[in-house]
Amino acid sequence: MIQFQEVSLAYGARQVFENVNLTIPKGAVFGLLGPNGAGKSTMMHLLSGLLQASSGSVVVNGMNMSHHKLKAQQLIGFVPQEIALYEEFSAVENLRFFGSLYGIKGKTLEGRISELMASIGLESRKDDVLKTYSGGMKRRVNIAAALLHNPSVVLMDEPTVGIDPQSRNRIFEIIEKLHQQGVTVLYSTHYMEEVERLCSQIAIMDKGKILIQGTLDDLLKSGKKTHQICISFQETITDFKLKLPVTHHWNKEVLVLNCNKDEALTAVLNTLNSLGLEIANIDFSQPNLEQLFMELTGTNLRD
Amino acid sequence: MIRTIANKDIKLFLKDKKGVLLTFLLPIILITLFAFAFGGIGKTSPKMSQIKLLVSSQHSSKEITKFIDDLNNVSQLIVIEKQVEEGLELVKKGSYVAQLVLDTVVENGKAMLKYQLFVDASKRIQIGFLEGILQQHISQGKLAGFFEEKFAGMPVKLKKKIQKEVNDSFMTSGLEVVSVLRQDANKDNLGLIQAVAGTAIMMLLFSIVAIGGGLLDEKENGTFKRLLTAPIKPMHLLLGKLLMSVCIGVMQLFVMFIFAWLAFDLHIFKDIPSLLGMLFCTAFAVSSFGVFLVSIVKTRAQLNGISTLIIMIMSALGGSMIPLFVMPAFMQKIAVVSLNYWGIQGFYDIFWRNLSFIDILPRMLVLLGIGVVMLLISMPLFKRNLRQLA
Repeated sequence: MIQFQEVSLAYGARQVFENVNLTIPKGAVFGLLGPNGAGKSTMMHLLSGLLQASSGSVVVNGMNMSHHKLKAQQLIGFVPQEIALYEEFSAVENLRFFGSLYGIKGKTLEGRISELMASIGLESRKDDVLKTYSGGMKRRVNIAAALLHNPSVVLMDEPTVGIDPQSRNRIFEIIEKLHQQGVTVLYSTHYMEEVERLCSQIAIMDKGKILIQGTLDDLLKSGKKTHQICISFQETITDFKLKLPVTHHWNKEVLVLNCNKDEALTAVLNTLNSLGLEIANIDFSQPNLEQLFMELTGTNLRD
Repeated sequence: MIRTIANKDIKLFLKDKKGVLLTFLLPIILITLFAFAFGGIGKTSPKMSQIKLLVSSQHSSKEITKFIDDLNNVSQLIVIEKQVEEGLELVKKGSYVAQLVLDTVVENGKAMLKYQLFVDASKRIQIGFLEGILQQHISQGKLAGFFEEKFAGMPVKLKKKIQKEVNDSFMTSGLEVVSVLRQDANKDNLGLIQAVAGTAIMMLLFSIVAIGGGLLDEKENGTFKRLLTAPIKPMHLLLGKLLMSVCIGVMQLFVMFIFAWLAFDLHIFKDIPSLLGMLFCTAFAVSSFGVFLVSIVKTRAQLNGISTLIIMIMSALGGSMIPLFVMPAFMQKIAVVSLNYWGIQGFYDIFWRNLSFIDILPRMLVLLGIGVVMLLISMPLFKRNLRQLA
């Protein structure tokens, strides 16, 4: 179990985290969502021991990071956002080095390396130097390096950035396997579909605060129940400046409305009819995580 | 278009404040140092050009006492009286330039002073200077005695004029210059030792900084962050780097001396324990210096700027770029602040002065001390810098 109790963190006068409380149950795959600069990586760094909270406590499986940092770090596997591996070493040499940092030696280490190389699908390339690997392959080794010591908590900071669907799927399989083994996974990403597929619990955070936390269903129920309605037309659209009573935007020639189906749709259809626009098709979609995310964090661009 | 491109590049150049500083400050510092070393700048103060001369006598006599009293009046000298053996030992260790040993011998039934100057031959410039002063002083003294005895009635002014002309044209002092090196000493070329030791230490400084910079590369590629999340103490990362630097440093110095042996016949195996001791102590001090630099900088650009500046200054001051024996005395005094100085002097002790391990030990301890101090300063700085490194 991971617990953040009244955790605050400040860099000089700048408050990065303010009284954050969060509990991640043992064995959960916990999705952490937030725009750039929301504090996701900071949360990972506080958990991995890279940063120390200014106040409050971060507890991992009963061990306080402030008092038992080294013991807690032994329980944690950290997959950083960057590919934090030595490019001049082979995959096996990298894993041997990182395994030895956790006190794993000899046959145990070699056995674990073979097992992980098989699970990431790189057994045949294990002795090739890393710089000859593709981005996806490196990402998989990056994950393997965090799992060598059989951690009970795994922190994954955007582990699927910039990789092909095959590698991404293999990473999903690894996470699902960790979940089956009862490992607690904290998974940070920008991809909503990944969270929807993998995570039993989700938190959305912004500006160093947890905005909402719960299961996917809990989160969707808490939203404004806004539907997305996509309308396509018979003829080519030339005038995109429509005055409609609901929030809308154009996706090429498809009109996308964000509205409550019952209330506003009739009014929109009447307006379109009065303009002589002939509707070819209407698609309704259920409220989703992305809509909720935008609703909570806003549409302003972030650094 | 050319002007636009040039303007853009000038703006970029000026934005790199450290680069600008390095472009102008480093040459100014080096010009100043070379001017002091070669150009005789800063010699105006008589105190600065004074040389400490050890003086001993085999026995006491009226002539010897008078000679020493006269020597005390020579403004360029600081006369220090020592026992013969003690003085020789101090010169041999390089603590003093020379020792003048006075004796009285009887020639043709007449007591005459004998002058022997025991010198540390590695300090050529000062020896030359000293020889000149002593020869002049001795011959003038001899001539004055002769004139006093033979032409007692001659007017003083005329006597002095003749005395000067005779002195300038014919007189020899009888000063015997003897090197304090042991008789079995290897006669390796001092310039060769200087070139090998000086260059080796300067190059080692550059390579160790490059190795230390590896830590900053690890920061940039993210592996340092991963290391910090492993259950190891951050200080062990620093000490691990130090250990690796010391090993590489010892190997690098060893290879350079082996090359000097093969290519230039430098006799490096005459005292293997001392050589190994000096290799280790030099590598340790230099590595600690590298660790110190890495602890105070945050980026590779900063490291490159600061290290180039410090290494060039230390090398110029400490004798890596300009041999210490051609520098004025006051520059030689300043040289002790440089790490290069202690390393080069240690290698002189082995290859030139042929000192024993025990005699070289103080230099080794100084190098170890420098290393320990640098390390102690680096540790809290590194700890403070960790967040930026992560």
